Amino acid sequence: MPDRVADKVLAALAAVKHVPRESISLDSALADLRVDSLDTITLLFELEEYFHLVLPDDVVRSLRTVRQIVEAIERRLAAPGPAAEATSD
Amino acid sequence: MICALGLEVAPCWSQMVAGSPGIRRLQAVDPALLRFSNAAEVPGFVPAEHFEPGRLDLLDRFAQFALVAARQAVRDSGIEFTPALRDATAVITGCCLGGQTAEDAEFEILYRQGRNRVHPLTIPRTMANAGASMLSMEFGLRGPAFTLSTACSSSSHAIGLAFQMVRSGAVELALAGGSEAPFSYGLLKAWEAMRVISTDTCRPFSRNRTGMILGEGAAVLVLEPLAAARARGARIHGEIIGFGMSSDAHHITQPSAEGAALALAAALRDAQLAPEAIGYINAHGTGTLGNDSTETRAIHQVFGAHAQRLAVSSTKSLHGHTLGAAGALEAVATVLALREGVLPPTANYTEPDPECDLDVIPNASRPLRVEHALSNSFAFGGLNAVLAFRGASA
Repeated sequence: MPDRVADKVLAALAAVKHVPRESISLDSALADLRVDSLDTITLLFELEEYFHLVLPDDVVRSLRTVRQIVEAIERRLAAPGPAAEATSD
Repeated sequence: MICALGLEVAPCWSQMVAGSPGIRRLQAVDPALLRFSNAAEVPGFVPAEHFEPGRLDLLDRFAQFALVAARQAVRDSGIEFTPALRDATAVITGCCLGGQTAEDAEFEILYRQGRNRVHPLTIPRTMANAGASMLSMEFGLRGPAFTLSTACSSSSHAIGLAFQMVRSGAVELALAGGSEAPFSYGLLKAWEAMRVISTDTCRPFSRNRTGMILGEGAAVLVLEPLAAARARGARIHGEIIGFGMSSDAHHITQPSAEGAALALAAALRDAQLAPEAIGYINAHGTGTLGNDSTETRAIHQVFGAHAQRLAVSSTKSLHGHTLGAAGALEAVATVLALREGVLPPTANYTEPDPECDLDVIPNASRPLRVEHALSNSFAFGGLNAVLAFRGASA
């Protein structure tokens, strides 16, 4: 599961920024990737749709690195609550 | 003026002075469908008390608000429209979104109910210029009439342009302001996706602020040359003395201190005022992390050491962010602050933010007579408008 989350986050971020996936690592800082507020909400929209979850605004505001996004999604997937199944695409 | 604080100017101002926000649980849409649940809706507004049934068929909620506010303004002004004056009067309204309520209702019929036609009055109900058109028809005004749409600066641009037209002599009189009614399900989902709406309340300049609270309403001003108003013995509430505009040329949603500073400086220049002459700024103050710190930097940039001495507040903490109506509501708040010698507070303020190190009049209004004031509007898209005012007695 963790690798699958990381793979999806890296792929989604590469798509949002229109850059090769290989150019992004888990330790990349979002600021270094020039991820601005619109990129962030677009990325989170894609990831929330894919993983069928919601990340609260205060969690989103605290994200600074790619790894923090992955960890936030993993925490949410592990938490009891509404649907946490990913789509198949 | 009509907003979450009341249906008339007097109750709205009383609530502002009391620092009592009109932010409540959302009624127009089920909050269970949204990630936020609070809004600044107009309480107790019954359209049938203001309009005949046949008239209502044509009016989205945003146009109803525009008409209600304009009727109040014209009545208060005591103006008597002669045929010649009607032809020399402009109507300029600001509106960000147009008739969202009508549009959402009709699109729901198409998309959810699966029917294949919508109401034939959908276009006249939803067009953003419906407010301006309805005002011109209501009072028979045949001068220039149009609507400006510059997101959250719309009605400040409208008032500013009307001011310039009256000052230049292009028109003798102008009705200027703006209206908005943004509480449709589709639009609220779009705002939700922007992640700028607070799940709590609007706390401008407070360190723990979490975003804006959407509001609805309208305000309309009657503008005429000072000499003409004095000549007819009008009750003059205040004087617009300057208008500054700028564009950030920076980012579609992230504000720029440099762009805002350009508009502030332009307003001061147009009003022929030194920065030290300003005693109060009605801030754009949305309560988002980005706006409030950026606006603070812009104020520091333009006012230097005086930034620590002037008073600043955001009345959006009271009447919500009414988007295309915001500049007009805040212009009225600024004029009343000058007239009454009371500065309205920034409500819901709990924690100082070093990045917003201004005197933000936290929570309690301040009896203080100031001579000159500004009202800021800094819109998505980087479109900035600042109005400069002087009290009527000055």
